[in-house]
Amino acid sequence: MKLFEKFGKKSENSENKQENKKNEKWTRMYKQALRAIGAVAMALALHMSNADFAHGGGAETGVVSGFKNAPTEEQAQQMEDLASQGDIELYGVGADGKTRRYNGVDIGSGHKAEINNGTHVGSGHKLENADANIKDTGNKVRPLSGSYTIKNGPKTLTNK
Amino acid sequence: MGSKQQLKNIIDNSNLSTEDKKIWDNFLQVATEIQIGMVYDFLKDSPEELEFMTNNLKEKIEAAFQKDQAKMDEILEREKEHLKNLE
Repeated sequence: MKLFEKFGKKSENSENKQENKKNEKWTRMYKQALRAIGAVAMALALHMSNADFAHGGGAETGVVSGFKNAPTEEQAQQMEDLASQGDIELYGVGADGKTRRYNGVDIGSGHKAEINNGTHVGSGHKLENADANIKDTGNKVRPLSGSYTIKNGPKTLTNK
Repeated sequence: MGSKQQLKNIIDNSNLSTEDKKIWDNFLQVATEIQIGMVYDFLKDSPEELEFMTNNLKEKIEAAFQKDQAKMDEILEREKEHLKNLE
């Protein structure tokens, strides 16, 4: 909806000064909201850059942000423990909401990569297509990028 | 009901994709009460702008994550154009 369809046509006419004030208020509020979004986006991006795996408590669903560097053995073990407690699905929701690369393969928005019970993402293993399970024979957790939502996991992964 | 829950209700009841709703969940997890209030105060009366704001959020996260200033400048420029088009 056009701004001035919402609050009336802009006019220099004094009768419409009130509408113009409303319009100005609407624009100001929109700008404030967009600035707030910008600040939070920066915080989220920083969060993603510095993220590490760590257990959170209890929730059935949770969010883990990607991290740049390979996780430590301890973090890999945490992931393995998590996987052993039940199926975990990592949805490839990139920070752009569209695609996220895993081992050089695009994971499209809405596609999923699964870590099944007892398995984990193996370093150097390749996801053949967006819907394929990540087959693991390795014992390292592959660094992920982007923001992933864990569904059906018994624990929440949060960032330290 | 606080702004956080009210904003969540707007998002949950919207036509956004599941993935986009998750991104807003991330937003709600890290945003301050004031930031949430600013977004809610606007969206409660202009829910039709949710889609633009969602794309704006996603693009800003990506640009910030990539430390891509040119991309961020481009996003801000598009914001200005969007507002201008609404006038």
